[in-house]
Amino acid sequence: MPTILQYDFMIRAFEAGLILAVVAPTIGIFFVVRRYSAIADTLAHVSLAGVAGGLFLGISTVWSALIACLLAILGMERIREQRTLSSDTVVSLFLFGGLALGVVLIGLRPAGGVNVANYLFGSVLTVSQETIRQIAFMGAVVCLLAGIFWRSFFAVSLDEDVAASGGLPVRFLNRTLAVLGATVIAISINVVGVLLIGALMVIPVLAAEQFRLGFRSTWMISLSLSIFSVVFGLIGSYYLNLASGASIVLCSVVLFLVMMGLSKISFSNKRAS
Amino acid sequence: MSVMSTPAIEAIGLSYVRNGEHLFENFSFSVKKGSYTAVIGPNGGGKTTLMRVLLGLLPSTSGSVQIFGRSNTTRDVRRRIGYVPQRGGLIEPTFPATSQEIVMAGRTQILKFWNRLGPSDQQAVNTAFEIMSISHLRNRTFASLSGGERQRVLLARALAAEPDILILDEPVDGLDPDSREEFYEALRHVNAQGKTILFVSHDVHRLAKEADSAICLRHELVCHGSKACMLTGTQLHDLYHPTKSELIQHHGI
Repeated sequence: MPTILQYDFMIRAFEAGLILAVVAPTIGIFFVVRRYSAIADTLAHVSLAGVAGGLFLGISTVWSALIACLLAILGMERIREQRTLSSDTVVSLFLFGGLALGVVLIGLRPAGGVNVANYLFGSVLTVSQETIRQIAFMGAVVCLLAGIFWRSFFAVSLDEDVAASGGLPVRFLNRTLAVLGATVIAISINVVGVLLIGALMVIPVLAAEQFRLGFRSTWMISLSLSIFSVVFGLIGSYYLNLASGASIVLCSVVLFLVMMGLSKISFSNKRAS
Repeated sequence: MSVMSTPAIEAIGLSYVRNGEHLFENFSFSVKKGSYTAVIGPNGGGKTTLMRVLLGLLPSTSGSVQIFGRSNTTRDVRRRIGYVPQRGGLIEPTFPATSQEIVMAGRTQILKFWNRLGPSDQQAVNTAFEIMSISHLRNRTFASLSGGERQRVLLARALAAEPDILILDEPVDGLDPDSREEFYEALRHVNAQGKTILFVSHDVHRLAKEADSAICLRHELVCHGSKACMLTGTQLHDLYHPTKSELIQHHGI
């Protein structure tokens, strides 16, 4: 057995990472095609406040992060509906406000025991058996709901007006998608970290988009790239002693560049022939 | 009113006010089942807004819309409508989807969330492709299609839902003459099957040949009813200004 798999914490990291590798692009693809990447990033930053609140109250950081994200979704929507502030302003307020609140709450906590960097950039050491169970449960729920709403999410992503005119409950579907995005973020914190979660949802999809294929093919390629990034990111993190989130996201960025190069070569060959 | 005589669409006292400006006021008209109705009027005359109100995408300031005798806000009623928006609608040109996936998305409005696509759904999609003569585009991505091909795919998406009413907002704008002809031909075929068509366009000359009735608006309902109403010089004058009216008369309508 390779050395890396002789440690329980690495096995747990792979288990958690592989679940994330499936759920992140599965929800992320809808955020990417709808140009909602900034919202994913905002929720990720808000989740730090949730993590800090969880640490403060001594409850699971996965659940507290999820609650913080859900409150942020409702808050952003409420402010948007009042139409007093632009969407960009609302997103920026929540992004920076969430991050600042998280840092303040962590600062207020009695000293000792918590390394904030673990939550900002991910650390396999924070993945406990209990965390795995939570990630597996929430990941299964996300996949189940994504499966049920897949066609509707696609139709709404394609054209919200046409979907609404055909009677699809667009507002409900948008909220459900946002909640699923928040859930993915909440379960990703330990492995990928608050600052890099958005990247795991977005970059594999952007890399897959380089091939200019259909939706299903793009999703399947993004899954493969995501799994590849998580596996090689965690291996790199172990052997080079790097933050796991940073290592995973760097792998996905390298894959994006490779895919972009391959697609350019492929399209120039097609044009030449 | 008997079921047989229930109009496909009925607008009753419809008004829409935006930022204090009346885009249209107190419109009442009906669209007969199986009719092919041209909706004409100048830019900014309220055509697209009217379509969006009929579709339930915008709430009217006053008045109501009935589709087959029921409010247009109910989901069952909306499922019976197919919509092709202006200039390809909100679809990002780079959206990663094949024509097959886009047309298949048209079935979503008539299925429950948890329903899987069955043989009847596949058959409806195949029929939509055949009507639009775009079966060869099935595996092409939306980004790789020309403007005309995209519009035909979007009409196929609307047809895949097997709607009773088709609302088309300037669907042939920017298309070359061949693509336009194919588009009109497909609509004639669909209309012959009994579907009600509401077609917004500036192409008065062509719609005079295609449609059997008309709604002419310019913030107010200039006329509605038989297509003859859009061909009279007085009404064209009211609608578009004398120059255009004269131009069209010059072409022998």
